[in-house]
Amino acid sequence: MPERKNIDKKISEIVRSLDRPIPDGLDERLRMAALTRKPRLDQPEKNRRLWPAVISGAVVSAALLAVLLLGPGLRPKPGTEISEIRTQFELVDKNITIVFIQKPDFKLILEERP
Amino acid sequence: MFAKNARALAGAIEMSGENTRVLSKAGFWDLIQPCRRKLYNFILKSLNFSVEADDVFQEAVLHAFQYFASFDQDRDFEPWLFAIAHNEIRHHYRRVANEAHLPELERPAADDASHSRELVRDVFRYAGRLKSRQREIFFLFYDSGFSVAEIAALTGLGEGNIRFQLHRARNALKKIMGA
Repeated sequence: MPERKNIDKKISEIVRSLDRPIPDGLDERLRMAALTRKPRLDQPEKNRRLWPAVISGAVVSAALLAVLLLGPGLRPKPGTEISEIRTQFELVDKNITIVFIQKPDFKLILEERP
Repeated sequence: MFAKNARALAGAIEMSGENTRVLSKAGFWDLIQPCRRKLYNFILKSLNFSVEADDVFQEAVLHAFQYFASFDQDRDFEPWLFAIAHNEIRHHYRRVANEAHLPELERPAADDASHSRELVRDVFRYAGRLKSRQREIFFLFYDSGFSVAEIAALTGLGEGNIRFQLHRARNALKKIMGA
């Protein structure tokens, strides 16, 4: 470890021993060019303004998906409501028919089988 | 590094109504003043002392100036500035072919007496043969003095990758320097 540090220090010294100053003309050219460049001070604001668009886009996509999945064409048909249950017995030899009718304190849905 | 920049940064913050995060143009030049030369040398060396270095330096500083408002005051200014320079160097290499120019050792630094001109030339010749990205890592570490973690943050490379590149450079230079 100390050996590595020594080598790093030596390399740094050698590399830094060649140190060039900024040319005078370049410094002036830089200042002049900066005058024509407009600072983009509104850049973070612009980024923030993207969020409403992203959120509204996501909401619209979700709404479209819901319409597609639960639209009238794709929604399952509701079953027929049962209004009464009728049970009928016939005593043929005595010519008697007994009919039991249950209604309407229950609610059942008749499943339609394909 | 943060404490060093703190005074200059305080001057860069304009109290404009409720918005205290607006950074002034004059503040930018105050902040960049102490690290301009370091930045220039990093770009110059990363581009193998190419004549294009002046243009890349100018573009890097102007881009930093343009996007100064997006600079997070809670972070150090120097790594942010060098990250922009790193992008400019990458952009430059995408545009032009990599032409290696050996450094002209006409104006060595005043404290250069401890190193022979040949040794300096050999070290820069080695750096000149590196791939552009490896050369940037080399100079960010040995010339600009950034830590491995800082280099990883500003180049977007993994710390392990950077350590590996530095290890290889160290071993190669050990032989060159006869250490």
